[in-house]
Amino acid sequence: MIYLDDASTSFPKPPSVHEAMLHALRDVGANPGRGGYASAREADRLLYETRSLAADFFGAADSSRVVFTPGCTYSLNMALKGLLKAGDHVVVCGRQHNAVVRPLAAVGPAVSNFDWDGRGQFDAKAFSRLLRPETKAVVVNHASNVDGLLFPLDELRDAANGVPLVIDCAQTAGVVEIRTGERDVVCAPGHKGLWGSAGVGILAFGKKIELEPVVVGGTGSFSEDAGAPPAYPDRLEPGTMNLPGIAALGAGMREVGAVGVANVFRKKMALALDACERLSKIRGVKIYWPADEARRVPLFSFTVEGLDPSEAADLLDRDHGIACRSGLHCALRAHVELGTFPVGTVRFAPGYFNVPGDVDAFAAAVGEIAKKR
Amino acid sequence: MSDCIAVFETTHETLRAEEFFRAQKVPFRPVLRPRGLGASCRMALRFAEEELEKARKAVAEGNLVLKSFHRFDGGAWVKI
Repeated sequence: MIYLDDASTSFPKPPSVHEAMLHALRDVGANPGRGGYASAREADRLLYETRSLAADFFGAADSSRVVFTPGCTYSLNMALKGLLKAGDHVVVCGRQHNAVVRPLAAVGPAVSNFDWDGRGQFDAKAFSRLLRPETKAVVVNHASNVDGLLFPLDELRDAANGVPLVIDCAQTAGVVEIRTGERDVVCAPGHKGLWGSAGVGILAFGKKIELEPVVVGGTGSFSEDAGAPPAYPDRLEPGTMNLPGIAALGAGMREVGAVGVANVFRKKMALALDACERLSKIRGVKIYWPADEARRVPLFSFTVEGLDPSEAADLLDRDHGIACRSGLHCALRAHVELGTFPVGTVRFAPGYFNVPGDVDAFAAAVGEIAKKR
Repeated sequence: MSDCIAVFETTHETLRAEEFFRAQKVPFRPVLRPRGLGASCRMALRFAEEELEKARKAVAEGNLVLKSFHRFDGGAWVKI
Protein backbone atom coordinates (compact mmCIF):
# COMPACT_ATOMS: atom_id res chain seq x y z
CA MET A 1 0.00 0.00 0.00
CA ILE A 2 1.08 3.56 -0.69
CA TYR A 3 -0.26 5.61 2.18
CA LEU A 4 -1.14 9.21 1.26
CA ASP A 5 -3.50 10.11 4.06
CA ASP A 6 -1.15 11.81 6.51
CA ALA A 7 -3.77 14.46 7.22
CA SER A 8 -5.93 11.75 8.82
CA THR A 9 -3.10 10.17 10.75
CA SER A 10 0.59 9.65 10.13
CA PHE A 11 1.76 6.23 9.06
CA PRO A 12 4.12 4.50 9.49
CA LYS A 13 5.27 5.51 12.96
CA PRO A 14 9.00 5.47 13.78
CA PRO A 15 10.11 2.28 15.63
CA SER A 16 10.98 4.35 18.71
CA VAL A 17 7.28 5.25 18.99
CA HIS A 18 6.28 1.57 19.06
CA GLU A 19 8.99 0.88 21.61
CA ALA A 20 8.01 3.77 23.89
CA MET A 21 4.42 2.60 23.96
CA LEU A 22 5.46 -0.96 24.69
CA HIS A 23 7.85 0.20 27.42
CA ALA A 24 5.06 2.13 29.18
CA LEU A 25 2.73 -0.86 28.99
CA ARG A 26 5.21 -3.60 29.77
CA ASP A 27 7.78 -2.00 32.06
CA VAL A 28 6.11 0.96 33.77
CA GLY A 29 2.50 -0.07 34.09
CA ALA A 30 1.59 2.14 37.05
CA ASN A 31 -0.85 5.02 37.15
CA PRO A 32 0.82 8.46 37.38
CA GLY A 33 -0.14 10.60 40.36
CA ARG A 34 -1.67 7.74 42.26
CA GLY A 35 1.13 6.17 44.29
CA GLY A 36 4.53 6.63 45.87
CA TYR A 37 6.13 3.36 44.82
CA ALA A 38 8.91 3.18 42.28
CA SER A 39 6.86 2.39 39.17
CA ALA A 40 4.29 5.10 40.00
CA ARG A 41 7.14 7.58 40.33
CA GLU A 42 8.48 6.42 36.98
CA ALA A 43 5.03 7.00 35.48
CA ASP A 44 5.02 10.50 37.04
CA ARG A 45 8.41 11.19 35.53
CA LEU A 46 7.42 9.96 32.07
CA LEU A 47 4.39 12.25 32.15
CA TYR A 48 6.46 15.18 33.40
CA GLU A 49 9.22 14.75 30.83
CA THR A 50 6.75 14.47 27.95
CA ARG A 51 4.91 17.55 29.20
CA SER A 52 8.18 19.50 29.37
CA LEU A 53 9.04 18.32 25.87
CA ALA A 54 5.63 19.41 24.57
CA ALA A 55 6.06 22.81 26.26
CA ASP A 56 9.37 23.27 24.45
CA PHE A 57 7.90 22.04 21.18
CA PHE A 58 5.03 24.56 21.30
CA GLY A 59 6.98 27.38 22.90
CA ALA A 60 4.83 27.38 26.02
CA ALA A 61 6.48 29.36 28.81
CA ASP A 62 4.84 27.40 31.65
CA SER A 63 4.79 23.61 31.29
CA SER A 64 2.01 23.29 33.89
CA ARG A 65 -0.20 24.90 31.24
CA VAL A 66 0.37 22.05 28.82
CA VAL A 67 -2.33 19.44 29.22
CA PHE A 68 -2.73 16.01 27.67
CA THR A 69 -6.16 15.23 26.25
CA PRO A 70 -7.63 12.29 24.32
CA GLY A 71 -7.04 14.13 21.01
CA CYS A 72 -7.23 17.42 19.14
CA THR A 73 -11.04 17.30 19.05
CA TYR A 74 -11.08 17.02 22.83
CA SER A 75 -8.54 19.83 23.11
CA LEU A 76 -10.78 22.07 21.00
CA ASN A 77 -13.85 21.13 23.03
CA MET A 78 -11.99 21.85 26.26
CA ALA A 79 -10.77 25.19 24.91
CA LEU A 80 -14.10 26.37 23.53
CA LYS A 81 -16.29 25.07 26.34
CA GLY A 82 -13.74 26.18 28.92
CA LEU A 83 -13.65 29.75 27.58
CA LEU A 84 -17.13 30.46 26.25
CA LYS A 85 -20.75 30.54 27.27
CA ALA A 86 -24.00 31.32 25.47
CA GLY A 87 -24.27 35.06 24.87
CA ASP A 88 -20.56 35.48 24.15
CA HIS A 89 -19.29 36.30 20.70
CA VAL A 90 -16.52 34.65 18.69
CA VAL A 91 -14.86 35.35 15.38
CA VAL A 92 -14.07 32.25 13.37
CA CYS A 93 -11.30 32.26 10.75
CA GLY A 94 -10.12 29.75 8.21
CA ARG A 95 -11.81 26.72 6.74
CA GLN A 96 -13.39 25.22 9.85
CA HIS A 97 -13.57 21.56 10.73
CA ASN A 98 -16.51 20.03 12.60
CA ALA A 99 -14.22 19.74 15.65
CA VAL A 100 -14.80 23.51 15.97
CA VAL A 101 -18.20 23.91 14.32
CA ARG A 102 -19.94 21.39 16.57
CA PRO A 103 -18.61 22.52 19.97
CA LEU A 104 -19.49 26.10 19.02
CA ALA A 105 -23.01 24.98 18.10
CA ALA A 106 -23.25 23.19 21.44
CA VAL A 107 -22.11 26.23 23.46
CA GLY A 108 -24.11 28.72 21.41
CA PRO A 109 -22.07 31.94 21.20
CA ALA A 110 -22.84 34.42 18.43
CA VAL A 111 -20.43 33.62 15.58
CA SER A 112 -18.95 35.96 12.98
CA ASN A 113 -17.04 34.36 10.14
CA PHE A 114 -13.96 36.00 8.70
CA ASP A 115 -13.64 34.52 5.22
CA TRP A 116 -10.29 34.65 3.50
CA ASP A 117 -9.12 32.35 0.74
CA GLY A 118 -5.40 33.08 0.91
CA ARG A 119 -5.43 35.47 -2.06
CA GLY A 120 -4.00 38.87 -1.30
CA GLN A 121 -2.96 40.16 2.09
CA PHE A 122 -4.72 39.38 5.33
CA ASP A 123 -7.05 42.34 5.81
CA ALA A 124 -6.55 43.30 9.46
CA LYS A 125 -8.97 46.22 9.23
CA ALA A 126 -11.78 44.05 7.88
CA PHE A 127 -11.05 41.51 10.59
CA SER A 128 -11.02 44.13 13.36
CA ARG A 129 -14.46 45.34 12.32
CA LEU A 130 -15.85 41.97 13.42
CA LEU A 131 -14.59 42.32 17.00
CA ARG A 132 -17.14 43.38 19.62
CA PRO A 133 -16.90 44.19 23.33
CA GLU A 134 -18.35 40.75 24.06
CA THR A 135 -15.93 38.90 21.75
CA LYS A 136 -14.36 36.26 23.98
CA ALA A 137 -12.26 34.36 21.44
CA VAL A 138 -10.97 34.25 17.91
CA VAL A 139 -11.01 30.68 16.64
CA VAL A 140 -8.70 29.87 13.75
CA ASN A 141 -8.01 26.77 11.74
CA HIS A 142 -4.26 27.16 11.31
CA ALA A 143 -4.37 25.07 8.14
CA SER A 144 -7.28 23.54 6.28
CA ASN A 145 -7.45 19.76 6.09
CA VAL A 146 -9.14 20.13 2.69
CA ASP A 147 -7.10 22.57 0.60
CA GLY A 148 -4.14 23.29 2.89
CA LEU A 149 -4.90 27.02 3.32
CA LEU A 150 -2.49 28.29 6.00
CA PHE A 151 -3.73 31.15 8.14
CA PRO A 152 -1.19 33.85 9.15
CA LEU A 153 -1.17 33.54 12.94
CA ASP A 154 1.10 36.48 13.74
CA GLU A 155 -1.00 38.92 11.73
CA LEU A 156 -4.17 37.51 13.25
CA ARG A 157 -2.77 37.74 16.79
CA ASP A 158 -1.92 41.41 16.24
CA ALA A 159 -5.33 42.15 14.78
CA ALA A 160 -7.12 40.30 17.61
CA ASN A 161 -5.84 43.02 19.94
CA GLY A 162 -5.71 40.90 23.09
CA VAL A 163 -8.72 38.69 22.46
CA PRO A 164 -7.72 35.04 23.14
CA LEU A 165 -6.81 32.99 20.09
CA VAL A 166 -7.96 29.36 19.95
CA ILE A 167 -5.76 27.69 17.34
CA ASP A 168 -6.68 24.41 15.69
CA CYS A 169 -3.28 22.95 14.81
CA ALA A 170 -4.57 19.58 13.58
CA GLN A 171 -2.70 19.96 10.29
CA THR A 172 0.24 22.07 11.42
CA ALA A 173 1.60 20.60 14.66
CA GLY A 174 4.97 19.11 13.70
CA VAL A 175 4.78 20.64 10.22
CA VAL A 176 4.88 24.38 10.94
CA GLU A 177 6.65 26.07 13.88
CA ILE A 178 4.08 27.09 16.50
CA ARG A 179 4.77 29.29 19.53
CA THR A 180 2.14 29.64 22.26
CA GLY A 181 1.48 33.29 23.01
CA GLU A 182 0.26 34.44 26.41
CA ARG A 183 -3.32 34.72 25.14
CA ASP A 184 -3.19 31.65 22.88
CA VAL A 185 -4.83 28.27 23.30
CA VAL A 186 -3.05 25.76 21.05
CA CYS A 187 -4.91 22.54 20.25
CA ALA A 188 -2.93 19.75 18.63
CA PRO A 189 -3.24 16.05 17.86
CA GLY A 190 -0.52 13.65 18.92
CA HIS A 191 -0.97 11.16 16.11
CA LYS A 192 -0.59 13.29 12.98
CA GLY A 193 2.44 15.52 12.56
CA LEU A 194 3.89 14.57 15.95
CA TRP A 195 4.04 10.88 14.91
CA GLY A 196 2.55 9.55 18.15
CA SER A 197 -0.36 7.18 18.59
CA ALA A 198 -4.06 7.94 18.37
CA GLY A 199 -5.74 8.78 21.67
CA VAL A 200 -3.54 11.65 22.81
CA GLY A 201 -3.79 15.35 22.11
CA ILE A 202 -2.23 18.51 23.49
CA LEU A 203 -3.81 21.65 24.90
CA ALA A 204 -1.22 24.38 25.55
CA PHE A 205 -2.26 27.80 26.78
CA GLY A 206 -0.62 31.02 27.84
CA LYS A 207 -0.54 32.69 31.23
CA LYS A 208 -3.37 35.11 30.41
CA ILE A 209 -5.79 32.24 29.75
CA GLU A 210 -7.98 30.55 32.35
CA LEU A 211 -9.97 27.49 31.31
CA GLU A 212 -12.93 26.05 33.16
CA PRO A 213 -12.77 22.26 33.23
CA VAL A 214 -15.28 20.42 31.06
CA VAL A 215 -14.74 17.04 32.72
CA VAL A 216 -14.00 16.61 36.44
CA GLY A 217 -13.03 13.62 38.55
CA GLY A 218 -10.20 12.12 40.54
CA THR A 219 -6.76 13.60 40.05
CA GLY A 220 -4.90 12.14 43.04
CA SER A 221 -4.60 15.69 44.38
CA PHE A 222 -6.71 18.14 46.40
CA SER A 223 -8.79 15.12 47.36
CA GLU A 224 -10.50 16.93 50.22
CA ASP A 225 -12.32 19.25 47.79
CA ALA A 226 -15.44 18.40 45.78
CA GLY A 227 -14.50 20.94 43.13
CA ALA A 228 -11.89 20.65 40.40
CA PRO A 229 -8.31 21.29 41.60
CA PRO A 230 -7.32 24.95 41.35
CA ALA A 231 -3.88 24.22 39.89
CA TYR A 232 -2.89 23.24 36.36
CA PRO A 233 -2.31 20.68 34.93
CA ASP A 234 -4.41 18.75 37.49
CA ARG A 235 -7.40 21.03 36.92
CA LEU A 236 -7.77 19.80 33.34
CA GLU A 237 -6.50 16.22 33.66
CA PRO A 238 -9.07 14.19 35.62
CA GLY A 239 -9.02 10.41 35.52
CA THR A 240 -6.27 8.06 34.47
CA MET A 241 -3.94 9.42 31.84
CA ASN A 242 -3.16 7.49 28.65
CA LEU A 243 0.42 6.83 29.65
CA PRO A 244 1.32 4.47 26.76
CA GLY A 245 -0.03 7.04 24.31
CA ILE A 246 1.80 9.87 26.06
CA ALA A 247 5.03 7.85 25.97
CA ALA A 248 4.52 7.29 22.25
CA LEU A 249 3.87 11.00 21.76
CA GLY A 250 7.11 11.82 23.57
CA ALA A 251 9.04 9.50 21.28
CA GLY A 252 7.29 10.97 18.24
CA MET A 253 8.11 14.53 19.25
CA ARG A 254 11.76 13.57 19.77
CA GLU A 255 11.84 12.07 16.27
CA VAL A 256 10.24 15.16 14.72
CA GLY A 257 12.59 17.35 16.72
CA ALA A 258 15.61 15.38 15.49
CA VAL A 259 14.52 15.82 11.86
CA GLY A 260 13.47 19.43 12.41
CA VAL A 261 10.02 20.84 11.74
CA ALA A 262 11.32 22.93 8.83
CA ASN A 263 12.82 19.83 7.22
CA VAL A 264 9.57 17.89 7.65
CA PHE A 265 7.75 20.74 5.91
CA ARG A 266 10.33 20.94 3.15
CA LYS A 267 10.23 17.24 2.35
CA LYS A 268 6.45 16.98 2.37
CA MET A 269 6.17 20.16 0.31
CA ALA A 270 8.53 18.78 -2.33
CA LEU A 271 6.28 15.74 -2.67
CA ALA A 272 3.14 17.89 -2.82
CA LEU A 273 4.61 20.24 -5.43
CA ASP A 274 5.69 17.31 -7.57
CA ALA A 275 2.23 15.73 -7.32
CA CYS A 276 0.50 19.03 -8.05
CA GLU A 277 2.61 19.67 -11.12
CA ARG A 278 1.91 16.22 -12.53
CA LEU A 279 -1.81 16.28 -11.78
CA SER A 280 -2.19 19.73 -13.29
CA LYS A 281 -1.16 18.22 -16.65
CA ILE A 282 -3.91 15.59 -16.56
CA ARG A 283 -7.01 16.58 -18.48
CA GLY A 284 -10.13 16.79 -16.31
CA VAL A 285 -8.27 17.05 -13.00
CA LYS A 286 -8.92 20.14 -10.91
CA ILE A 287 -6.68 20.99 -7.96
CA TYR A 288 -7.69 22.89 -4.83
CA TRP A 289 -4.60 24.43 -3.26
CA PRO A 290 -3.83 28.11 -2.60
CA ALA A 291 -1.61 29.57 -5.32
CA ASP A 292 0.52 31.55 -2.88
CA GLU A 293 3.20 29.22 -1.52
CA ALA A 294 3.37 31.15 1.76
CA ARG A 295 -0.31 30.45 2.37
CA ARG A 296 -0.38 26.69 2.14
CA VAL A 297 0.75 23.50 3.81
CA PRO A 298 1.76 20.33 1.95
CA LEU A 299 -1.66 18.80 1.29
CA PHE A 300 -4.26 19.51 -1.37
CA SER A 301 -7.55 18.29 -2.77
CA PHE A 302 -8.46 17.38 -6.31
CA THR A 303 -11.39 16.21 -8.37
CA VAL A 304 -11.59 14.27 -11.63
CA GLU A 305 -14.20 15.64 -13.99
CA GLY A 306 -17.17 13.34 -14.38
CA LEU A 307 -16.16 11.07 -11.52
CA ASP A 308 -17.49 11.05 -7.99
CA PRO A 309 -14.54 11.58 -5.58
CA SER A 310 -15.49 8.50 -3.61
CA GLU A 311 -15.30 6.46 -6.82
CA ALA A 312 -11.92 7.96 -7.66
CA ALA A 313 -10.58 7.12 -4.18
CA ASP A 314 -12.02 3.62 -4.47
CA LEU A 315 -10.25 3.10 -7.81
CA LEU A 316 -6.98 4.38 -6.34
CA ASP A 317 -7.31 1.86 -3.53
CA ARG A 318 -8.69 -1.12 -5.43
CA ASP A 319 -6.66 -0.93 -8.62
CA HIS A 320 -3.48 0.78 -7.44
CA GLY A 321 -3.14 0.14 -3.70
CA ILE A 322 -3.08 3.86 -2.94
CA ALA A 323 -4.75 5.18 0.22
CA CYS A 324 -6.35 8.64 -0.11
CA ARG A 325 -9.32 10.06 1.73
CA SER A 326 -12.33 11.33 -0.21
CA GLY A 327 -15.58 13.11 0.65
CA LEU A 328 -16.18 16.11 2.88
CA HIS A 329 -13.33 15.48 5.33
CA CYS A 330 -15.55 16.58 8.29
CA ALA A 331 -15.25 20.12 6.91
CA LEU A 332 -18.55 21.06 5.31
CA ARG A 333 -17.90 24.80 5.25
CA ALA A 334 -14.55 24.34 3.49
CA HIS A 335 -16.27 22.46 0.69
CA VAL A 336 -19.02 25.07 0.43
CA GLU A 337 -16.36 27.79 0.12
CA LEU A 338 -14.42 25.79 -2.47
CA GLY A 339 -17.57 24.91 -4.43
CA THR A 340 -17.05 21.18 -3.94
CA PHE A 341 -20.12 20.53 -1.79
CA PRO A 342 -21.89 18.06 -1.67
CA VAL A 343 -19.63 15.45 -3.28
CA GLY A 344 -16.36 16.72 -1.86
CA THR A 345 -12.89 15.97 -3.16
CA VAL A 346 -10.06 13.45 -3.04
CA ARG A 347 -7.18 14.56 -0.84
CA PHE A 348 -3.46 14.13 -1.45
CA ALA A 349 -1.73 14.27 1.95
CA PRO A 350 1.84 12.96 1.85
CA GLY A 351 3.79 12.10 4.98
CA TYR A 352 7.44 12.55 5.82
CA PHE A 353 8.10 8.88 5.11
CA ASN A 354 6.71 8.94 1.58
CA VAL A 355 9.23 8.85 -1.24
CA PRO A 356 9.22 10.36 -4.75
CA GLY A 357 8.32 6.96 -6.19
CA ASP A 358 5.01 7.15 -4.32
CA VAL A 359 4.19 10.34 -6.19
CA ASP A 360 5.15 8.64 -9.48
CA ALA A 361 2.71 5.82 -8.77
CA PHE A 362 0.01 8.22 -7.55
CA ALA A 363 0.23 10.52 -10.59
CA ALA A 364 0.23 7.58 -12.99
CA ALA A 365 -2.82 6.12 -11.24
CA VAL A 366 -4.77 9.39 -11.37
CA GLY A 367 -3.85 9.73 -15.04
CA GLU A 368 -5.20 6.28 -15.76
CA ILE A 369 -8.40 6.89 -13.80
CA ALA A 370 -8.98 10.23 -15.55
CA LYS A 371 -8.49 8.61 -18.96
CA LYS A 372 -11.04 5.87 -18.23
CA ARG A 373 -13.78 8.07 -16.79
CA MET B 1 19.20 17.38 63.31
CA SER B 2 15.95 16.05 61.94
CA ASP B 3 14.45 15.56 58.50
CA CYS B 4 12.38 18.08 56.58
CA ILE B 5 9.76 17.74 53.87
CA ALA B 6 8.86 20.14 51.07
CA VAL B 7 5.27 19.89 49.86
CA PHE B 8 4.35 21.35 46.48
CA GLU B 9 1.01 22.10 44.92
CA THR B 10 1.00 19.34 42.30
CA THR B 11 3.06 16.35 41.21
CA HIS B 12 4.13 18.41 38.21
CA GLU B 13 5.50 21.07 40.54
CA THR B 14 7.21 18.44 42.71
CA LEU B 15 9.00 17.01 39.69
CA ARG B 16 9.99 20.49 38.63
CA ALA B 17 11.28 21.06 42.15
CA GLU B 18 13.51 18.00 41.87
CA GLU B 19 15.41 19.72 39.06
CA PHE B 20 16.07 22.80 41.20
CA PHE B 21 16.98 20.76 44.28
CA ARG B 22 19.54 18.93 42.17
CA ALA B 23 20.88 22.22 40.82
CA GLN B 24 21.31 23.48 44.41
CA LYS B 25 22.92 20.15 45.37
CA VAL B 26 20.28 19.31 47.96
CA PRO B 27 20.25 15.54 48.57
CA PHE B 28 16.59 14.50 48.68
CA ARG B 29 14.33 11.51 48.51
CA PRO B 30 10.89 11.58 46.84
CA VAL B 31 8.38 10.21 49.32
CA LEU B 32 4.65 9.86 49.47
CA ARG B 33 3.21 12.92 51.14
CA PRO B 34 2.45 12.05 54.80
CA ARG B 35 -1.31 11.81 55.41
CA GLY B 36 -1.30 14.61 57.94
CA LEU B 37 -0.07 17.02 55.26
CA GLY B 38 -3.07 17.00 52.96
CA ALA B 39 -5.53 14.62 51.39
CA SER B 40 -3.79 13.52 48.24
CA CYS B 41 -1.74 10.66 46.86
CA ARG B 42 1.06 12.98 45.82
CA MET B 43 4.76 13.08 46.40
CA ALA B 44 6.88 15.34 48.55
CA LEU B 45 10.64 15.84 48.79
CA ARG B 46 12.35 14.70 52.01
CA PHE B 47 15.78 16.04 52.92
CA ALA B 48 18.04 16.64 55.93
CA GLU B 49 17.29 19.72 58.02
CA GLU B 50 20.77 21.15 57.44
CA GLU B 51 19.84 21.49 53.76
CA LEU B 52 16.84 23.70 54.50
CA GLU B 53 18.42 26.97 53.42
CA LYS B 54 19.59 25.49 50.14
CA ALA B 55 16.09 24.05 49.65
CA ARG B 56 14.60 27.51 50.20
CA LYS B 57 17.02 28.86 47.62
CA ALA B 58 15.94 26.17 45.15
CA VAL B 59 12.30 27.16 45.67
CA ALA B 60 13.09 30.81 45.03
CA GLU B 61 15.32 29.99 42.07
CA GLY B 62 12.63 27.90 40.36
CA ASN B 63 9.78 30.21 41.34
CA LEU B 64 8.20 27.00 42.60
CA VAL B 65 4.64 26.84 43.94
CA LEU B 66 5.49 25.57 47.43
CA LYS B 67 2.67 24.65 49.79
CA SER B 68 4.83 24.28 52.89
CA PHE B 69 8.02 23.08 54.56
CA HIS B 70 7.71 20.72 57.54
CA ARG B 71 10.18 19.39 60.11
CA PHE B 72 9.83 15.99 61.79
CA ASP B 73 9.56 16.91 65.43
CA GLY B 74 8.31 14.85 68.37
CA GLY B 75 6.94 12.09 66.17
CA ALA B 76 4.96 14.39 63.85
CA TRP B 77 5.52 16.73 60.92
CA VAL B 78 5.42 20.31 62.11
CA LYS B 79 5.04 23.22 59.69
CA ILE B 80 8.00 25.59 59.60
